[in-house]
Amino acid sequence: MVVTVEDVKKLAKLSKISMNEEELNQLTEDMQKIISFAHEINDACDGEFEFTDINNIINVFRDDIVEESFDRKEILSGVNGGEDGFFAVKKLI
Amino acid sequence: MDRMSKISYIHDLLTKKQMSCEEITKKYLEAIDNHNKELNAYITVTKDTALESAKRIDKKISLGEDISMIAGIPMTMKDNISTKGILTSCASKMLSNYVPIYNATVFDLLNDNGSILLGKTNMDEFAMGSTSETSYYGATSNPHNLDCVPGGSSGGGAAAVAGNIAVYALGSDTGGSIRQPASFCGVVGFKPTYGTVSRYGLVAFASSLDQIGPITTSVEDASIVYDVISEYDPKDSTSRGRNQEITFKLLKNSIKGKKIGIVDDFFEYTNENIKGHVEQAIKVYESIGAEIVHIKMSSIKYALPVYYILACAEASSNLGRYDGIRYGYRTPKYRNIDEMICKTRDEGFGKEVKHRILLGTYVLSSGYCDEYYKKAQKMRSIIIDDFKEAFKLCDALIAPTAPKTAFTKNYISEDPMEAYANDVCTVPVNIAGLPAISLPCGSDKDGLPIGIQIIGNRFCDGEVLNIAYAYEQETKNTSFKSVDMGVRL
Repeated sequence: MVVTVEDVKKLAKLSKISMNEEELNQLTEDMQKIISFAHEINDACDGEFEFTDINNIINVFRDDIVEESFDRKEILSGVNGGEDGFFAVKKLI
Repeated sequence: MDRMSKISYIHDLLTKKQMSCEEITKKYLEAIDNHNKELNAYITVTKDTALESAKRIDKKISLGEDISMIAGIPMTMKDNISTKGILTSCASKMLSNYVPIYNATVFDLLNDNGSILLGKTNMDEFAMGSTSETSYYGATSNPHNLDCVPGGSSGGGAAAVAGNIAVYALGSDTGGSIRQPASFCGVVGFKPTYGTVSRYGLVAFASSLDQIGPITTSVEDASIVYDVISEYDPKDSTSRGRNQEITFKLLKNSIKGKKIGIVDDFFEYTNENIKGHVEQAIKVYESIGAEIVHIKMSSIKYALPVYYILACAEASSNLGRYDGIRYGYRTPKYRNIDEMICKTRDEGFGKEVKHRILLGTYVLSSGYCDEYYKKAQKMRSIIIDDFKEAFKLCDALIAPTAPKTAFTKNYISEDPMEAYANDVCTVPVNIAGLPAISLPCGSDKDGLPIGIQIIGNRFCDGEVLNIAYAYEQETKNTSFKSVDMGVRL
């Protein structure tokens, strides 16, 4: 399995991370090493078998009752209060 | 003072009115002032709230009210555990301005019991790393040798406890992040069974592996803190709470006749010096009546690739939320929304975090998902089954915590594979959701601490603590080297 700069560029696009050439080259090299290492398990588990429930834990649902949530002002405190009760980004058009 | 339980020692000082909580808290704050520059263990120090809380405890004591064992004990939490009104940065530029509007459940439980929060500790960015060097706030140093790393990712907490600038710390463990720094800093680190401690308010890295736990100077303290934080929490959909009523009561049980298993695969990358110390510890166990059994677990050698595939896959999804819109860092210059998100993520995340997001995206992308992610899930099942079989033959497993002692700063940053291999003894435990503890068992020729790891079956947290406690009692201070800094009580 060969990882190319083009592969990493595509991954960066999918992950929404912009990257310069230097970072891309370094990452391609590192990714190649990591992927060939990850490949090890490929040959080891070819056969068919059942999944074990991973943590022996069943998802717990709460009753569907409307409860009080966080205050809008508090939530917007992470972006200096937002604008008119909304999250805001710069005007783009 | 006898190091065995700092918490009960301070509890006695407080209840016998030999020292006030304010006096003790001030001592710790002063020690942080003196030593945090060299250790860089704390990202934030919460001096004012710590002193206010201390005064409240003193008032309770003066009124003759009963206080819990951890009331008035100065402690710290890793900076990925949410604290209302207090910066929770995950040691990342991305969250360098993030002040949560709610508390993690563990912090609420500690607060209800009168804990004194001294501050928030340094870590690898988003808990991704095993050296605490990837922090946006700079690397933490090991109190045993300032040129060495304290391990990671909960390196700040381990360094604070070892350097006596906190009585105990809460860390998080996704692939060894509590146990490995505890081992590097010569303290105790306990990773509880998955589901026993609520993850609500823990900033997610890999949700099926993450677990909060204590870093302390003794097994007894680990048990005291665990008993407080291991409550069922309806806010965490995978929460179960602990099985036993109180693990503290189990500590003094004899371990005569207990079967302790050794799996050779855990020793594969371990250096001879550490092997020697673990073998010595095994002899101690034999001398106090434990029976040693050898167990084969052929799947252990695949634990590392399984871990990195699954942890990165989950991380790539969990870290998708950082888009610069609702909280955290946002790039100042952009032309459109897409550019805003991409630049925010490029500028906000460090190299290791980007690495893991991209790797996770790779193993989840169409065409590769069957080859990597699904096969890793299958192998995870095989590893879990192998552990189930192993625990039919023994009560607990013994292994090294890390294959090497603390390395010099910047040592492994060049080769990502060598860094990952350092987690070889700890990741199998997270893959199977088991409880495991690391405790000191001596030091190498340079005086750097070595840790042994006791691994138990799911929900047998009390058993793990009991077996660790028996070793600690038997070896007393011979396996523990304290550091000459910080608070002396």
